[in-house]
Amino acid sequence: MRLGDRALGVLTLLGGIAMFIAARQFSPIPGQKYGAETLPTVIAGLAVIVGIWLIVQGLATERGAPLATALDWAGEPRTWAKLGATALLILAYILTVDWLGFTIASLVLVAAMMLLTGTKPLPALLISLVTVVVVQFAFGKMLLVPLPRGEFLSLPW
Amino acid sequence: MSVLAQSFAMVFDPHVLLVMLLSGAFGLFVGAIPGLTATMATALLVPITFFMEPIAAIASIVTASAMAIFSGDIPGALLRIPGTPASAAYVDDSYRMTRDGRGPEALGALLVFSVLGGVFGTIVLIVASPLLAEVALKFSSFEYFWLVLLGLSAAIFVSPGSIPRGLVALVIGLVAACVGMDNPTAEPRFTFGNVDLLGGISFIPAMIGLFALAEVFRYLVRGYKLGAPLRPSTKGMLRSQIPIMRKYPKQMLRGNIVGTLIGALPGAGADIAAWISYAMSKRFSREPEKFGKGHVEGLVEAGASNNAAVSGAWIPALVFGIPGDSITAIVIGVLYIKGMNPGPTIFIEQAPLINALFIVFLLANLLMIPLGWIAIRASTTILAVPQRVLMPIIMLFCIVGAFAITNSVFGIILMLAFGILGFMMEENDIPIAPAILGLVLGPLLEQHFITSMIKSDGNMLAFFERPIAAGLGIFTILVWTAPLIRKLLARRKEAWT
Repeated sequence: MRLGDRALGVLTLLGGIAMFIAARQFSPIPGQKYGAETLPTVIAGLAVIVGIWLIVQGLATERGAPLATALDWAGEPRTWAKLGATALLILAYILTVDWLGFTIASLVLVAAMMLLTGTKPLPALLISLVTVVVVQFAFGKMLLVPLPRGEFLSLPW
Repeated sequence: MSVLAQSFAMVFDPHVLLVMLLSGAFGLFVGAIPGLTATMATALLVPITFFMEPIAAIASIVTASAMAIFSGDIPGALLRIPGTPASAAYVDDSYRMTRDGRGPEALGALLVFSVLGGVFGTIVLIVASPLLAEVALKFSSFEYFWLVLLGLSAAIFVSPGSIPRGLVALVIGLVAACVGMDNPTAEPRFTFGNVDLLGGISFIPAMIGLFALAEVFRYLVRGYKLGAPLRPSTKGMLRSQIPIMRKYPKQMLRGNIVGTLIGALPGAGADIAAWISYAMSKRFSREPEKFGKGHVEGLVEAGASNNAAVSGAWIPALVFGIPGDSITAIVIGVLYIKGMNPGPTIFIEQAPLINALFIVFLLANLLMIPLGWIAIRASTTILAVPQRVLMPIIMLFCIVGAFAITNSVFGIILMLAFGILGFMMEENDIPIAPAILGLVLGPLLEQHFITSMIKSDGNMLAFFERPIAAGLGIFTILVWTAPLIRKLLARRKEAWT
């Protein structure tokens, strides 16, 4: 869904107001006029101005147009499924990587992504195996990133 | 033997040259991987330098950092994944050029003008560093405040499309910059009780998400229809730069000068320089409508400015021992370990060493041409890999890069959140680049404002009381009001006729 200027303006305006209310819980430095609340308040002000600007611009140019238009891919369930699956895959990776270890979790992620983009199963598996080993060596061994080892099989670095 | 001959002998030692070559290759490799930064490349080299002679140690770090800054442009041009906030300024142009099959031209331009910028900055460093350092020291929080504001304004100015939508992006970036307890009173802001958020949102996972992961999402939606970018031939990549150099000499010079000047200010650095230069290039261009759509002019100016700023950062580092950015901070440490104490006396007491250092700077920049050429050739081969294979691999790199910053899955969570945000922003024609700049410069803006207000006891007029601050302030306000003034003048003209 692509938001028109009016809809985006209202959202920005509401965001600015929320930010302004949130900023009031912070306090200035003792004995000073300014402090932790200053930047959020200024951002809130900016958001309110931008919101009004967008609304005015939208009222002037979008007369009769819908508030938001559907994007070209919005009617394709396959695309939605792919997007959702990708986000879920990363989410699953985040939740399980400490337990599964970098090697297994990454292998599953890359192979699943390759299948999702339409690579044939055998090449997908081979390429993801090579990728994971190379990445693990480059980052874990050469650059000393402490990749999660997990409770199962993980390469020795 | 004269001092200069002594210095040359120090640098043109086979051992030193080999070290430079290897560190250069290392810097290129690290810089080209999204998520790994030039700072990381330098930091990783420090333990190795313990075992080297002083000149070899410095040469290694200088070469690696210069290469890493340049190679941050490569994934930006090829995959639209900028390596540094500075290369985010011109990533739209360079990526669009790659899609049109002009990738080598874009990368060649970035390479050649990076080298020229770096050499220019070094020459200024050799000739005028004490003078410039003197000026740089006059910059206090008031001047920095205006400079940061100017950088933020540049982000709006350069973003293609509607100005209010660019401002929405800036607001998003600034809000993200508020998160955490790194603020004047150390109150946790917008952390929602999450311990990981207390440290704030580090910009690298955010940048990987906004650009790289969003690109993966976009591929899933539209990739099949768009097709892969053409794999360009790298033939004549460097030769094609000569006509560009002839066409845009003014832009090149302006980029060099602005980059060196901003780079010489401790704490401002290459990020602001590249953005301001890109904005200036667009403002003074005869064809501003082409910017962001694959136009080489902005690359010339901002690319030159980027590397000139990196060289400029050495000025305060060597003259006063004040680091301009995290890389020079690391190098100052190495200088001390090797018995070269940065400060005014270094120019007198250790003349052969400091001359050798200057030669190293020049050599490191010149070495960038052959090494960068090889890197570009090697990296364009990834365009031959089908996108359906490439995108999952990029995703793994994104994940590891984001993980490496925090050494915990929190980096990956941030990356995912910003990836979804970035995708939604692009679908709504909200540019991404201003959000990055807001996130990077937001904390600086707050720090310099609050410091200034404490110093002046809350008197806002203090922002105009010092000469440089007043100049910068008036200039910034003019930049904001210029479109309005122009409109008013045009209306008056109409009324007259």
